[in-house]
Amino acid sequence: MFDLDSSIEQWRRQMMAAGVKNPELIDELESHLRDDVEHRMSEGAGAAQAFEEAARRLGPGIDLHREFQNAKLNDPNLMKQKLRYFLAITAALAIGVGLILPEIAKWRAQEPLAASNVTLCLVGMVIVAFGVACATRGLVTALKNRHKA
Amino acid sequence: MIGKELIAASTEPLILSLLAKGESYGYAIIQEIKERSGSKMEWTDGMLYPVLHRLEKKGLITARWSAENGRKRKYYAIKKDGKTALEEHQEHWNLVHSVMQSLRKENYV
Repeated sequence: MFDLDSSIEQWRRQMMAAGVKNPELIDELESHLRDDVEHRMSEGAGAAQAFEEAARRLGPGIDLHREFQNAKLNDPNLMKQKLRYFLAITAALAIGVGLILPEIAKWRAQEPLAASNVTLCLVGMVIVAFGVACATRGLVTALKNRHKA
Repeated sequence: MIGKELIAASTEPLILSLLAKGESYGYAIIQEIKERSGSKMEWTDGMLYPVLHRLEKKGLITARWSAENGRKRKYYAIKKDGKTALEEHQEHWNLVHSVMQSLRKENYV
């Protein structure tokens, strides 16, 4: 005996296994699936046939996952945001290293270091640390997002 | 049946045009486009949702969940920026249409 709810439950698991892991997105797709099943049944199809046809129309999870990944990759706002983030980190690292290197050169040349030189070196270190922290955070977020549809 | 490339290019302006009439949800959007085109434009069901989500991220439309008779549905509505984007789309499509029409007329002269 065909059971629509358990078939939809199984369909949800298949979606997740195919990489569509965002529960809100699966809820939205389920809502679409149920609308389509209802529509087909109102036109005379049996529940099992209506479900199979509606699920086929929606497409396999792997294709949906790919469509969402493509939409993300082609998102112009996201691209701009990533570019701004990258430029800010690069600028921070460049400024930080630019402040540290002359002081290191002086120290290696055994020139006397004034308090202002040490301060500049410390400011440079803080800026570099900030840049490295931001880059690490961005990398971790990107890796986490790879696993979400 | 209309080609894949034209379907893809027209998806965004059509969604915005449809939402300019009032809020709607994925399944209803697909059905309305199918009906209005006399079944000559059939979107792949799964193709619509990434486009809706992209429009939402771009700030052109907004979404809200609603529960009706125990069923959850995600409704989309056009925003001010979406209306501006729609006007731009309409200008571009009108331009393409007028160029095609003028070339067609010349062929008959």
